[in-house]
Amino acid sequence: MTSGLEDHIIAYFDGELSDADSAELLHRVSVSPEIRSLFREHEMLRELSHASVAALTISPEIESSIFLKIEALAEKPSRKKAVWVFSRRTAIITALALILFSGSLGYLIPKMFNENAQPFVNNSTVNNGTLERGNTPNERVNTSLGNKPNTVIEEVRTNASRSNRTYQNSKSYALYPTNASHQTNDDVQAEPITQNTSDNTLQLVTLVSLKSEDIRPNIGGEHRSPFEIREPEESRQLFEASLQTSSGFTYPADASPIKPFADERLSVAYHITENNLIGLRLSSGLYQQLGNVTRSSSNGIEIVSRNISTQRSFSEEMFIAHLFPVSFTVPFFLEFALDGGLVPSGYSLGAEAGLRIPLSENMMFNAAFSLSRVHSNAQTSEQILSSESAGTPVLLESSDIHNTIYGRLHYGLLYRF
Amino acid sequence: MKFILTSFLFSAILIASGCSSIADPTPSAPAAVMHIQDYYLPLNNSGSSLTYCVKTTTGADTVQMLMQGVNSTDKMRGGLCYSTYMSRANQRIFNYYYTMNDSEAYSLGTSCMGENSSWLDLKTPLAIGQQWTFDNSGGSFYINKTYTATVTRRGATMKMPDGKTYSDVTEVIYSSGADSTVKWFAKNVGLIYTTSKNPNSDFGQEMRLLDQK
Repeated sequence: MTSGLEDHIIAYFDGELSDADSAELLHRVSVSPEIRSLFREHEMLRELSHASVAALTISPEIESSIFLKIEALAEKPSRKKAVWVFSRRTAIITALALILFSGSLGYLIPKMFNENAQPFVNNSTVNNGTLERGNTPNERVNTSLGNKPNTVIEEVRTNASRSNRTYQNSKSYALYPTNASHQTNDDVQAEPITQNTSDNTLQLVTLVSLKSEDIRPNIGGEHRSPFEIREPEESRQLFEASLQTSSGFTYPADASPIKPFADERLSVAYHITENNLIGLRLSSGLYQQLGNVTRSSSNGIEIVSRNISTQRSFSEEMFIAHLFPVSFTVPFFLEFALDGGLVPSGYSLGAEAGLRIPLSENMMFNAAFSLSRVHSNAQTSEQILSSESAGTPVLLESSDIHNTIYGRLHYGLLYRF
Repeated sequence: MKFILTSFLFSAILIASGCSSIADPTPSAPAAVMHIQDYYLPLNNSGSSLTYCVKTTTGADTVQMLMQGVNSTDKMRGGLCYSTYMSRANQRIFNYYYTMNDSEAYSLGTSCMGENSSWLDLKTPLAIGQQWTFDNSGGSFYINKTYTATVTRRGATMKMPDGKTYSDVTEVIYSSGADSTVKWFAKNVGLIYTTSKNPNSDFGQEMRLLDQK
């Protein structure tokens, strides 16, 4: 009977109990103090387990210590290569996973609640983010719960013989023996959990009466298992800024090719997802521009002139980009972007392709080749001439380039934050 | 997939962004003219006419120049002598003669034999900076000037006061000391405008094309 009841309780917490069964179980919990107690024990058991898992954090000291050991094992005195960001990240994740899996789930949690628990690791506990030796698992739990290190939580043995059953949680990563077993459904005693803050003996921890908020209204919904490891969310770097210089060509051109370091552009982008970003760009570059119309008189006619010249100006662009992570000898990203914006007296539309090579965790070298079509809104020669109404013949000398292709090789540094 | 679709959409916008071509053609300096008749009067086109407004020191008048074709009795320098009939309000003024071949075009004056009064209007290759010289007495036994002609503009566009616009215009400046004459020739039209500081110029101080038939 108790076994079946406990199965229902566990299934309830795992979210695997049907609505009808959940309702029935909660009804029984509400009417039976014994069942309520059993229910509460399971609930506390899970809360404690979850708290202990969540409290495991890795300090920078531990992290660096791990890396030092890895380096020592690899007989590499130092990592001189700049592109180590991914291996380091992988190492961090691996280390976290190993600690969480083997330390917490595989061993710590079951032992912590086992009534016959022996000090399972006499040489390891968590204290203020550092590894120390000689403490018991209960101390580790207390520490994780924020209690003083010398406090101990233990369970009072039930006077019933415990089945020492093994529960399998479908959402858990390990089998664990539980000490929350009971003989029957009816003879379950309300076993108090005691705590002593002075002499490490047990004192009463009163089980609170079941309150309405303890009965979750979302019956049949997912009840997240406290034993389920929640991957810590990666601290995504949502923004990036890059400063690039460039050189290239303009077609058709009035001047020679644009020399290196001629153009500069500052880009700020937001990562919509890890590999898709949108951003703004401010450029100071050499743009081919149609000049102002000038007028002069010579030999009885009026001469109207307009030249085209390459001048330094600012432009503003908006761009979207997509990154393809690639690992070929070294990890890097292929980048493809589309952009459009305003240039002096016109607009530009373009596309570019390039690559990003990580230099550190936040810094990358960025190089890209872009092709842009720049359109000038300046008056055409025909428009200029039609607006002239002099009493003498008007001779027009004007360049009439309104659509230009800009090819640029951009290169610079990028910082993600 | 979304990115590819966006790229296609962007490309379509790029192509249809208001202009038929992605980039304008490269502007180039006008090529040197090697066939001079394209820029000169339609002397071969007998019956065609050009109407000019002529301004002299004494006033302005409208003069029509009717092409009469080759004067078969006269030949100049191995070329043909072309006759034009100059009239003013249906009143004959005089005949004026020209000669031209593929490389040169002359104004001869009122006679095919008037060698001393010939004026070398155009000479190949017709390109900016191109120069040539010629002697001109203006029909006088006592005056003989050497003029230097310089091509100063090619491929320009010119709009006349009446609104007519001519493209591919060549500007030539003829100078001899303080005496200066400027002529503008349009392709497939001929002389469209001239100004002169010489008071004895055959065409006054200003002659502007009004009409062509």
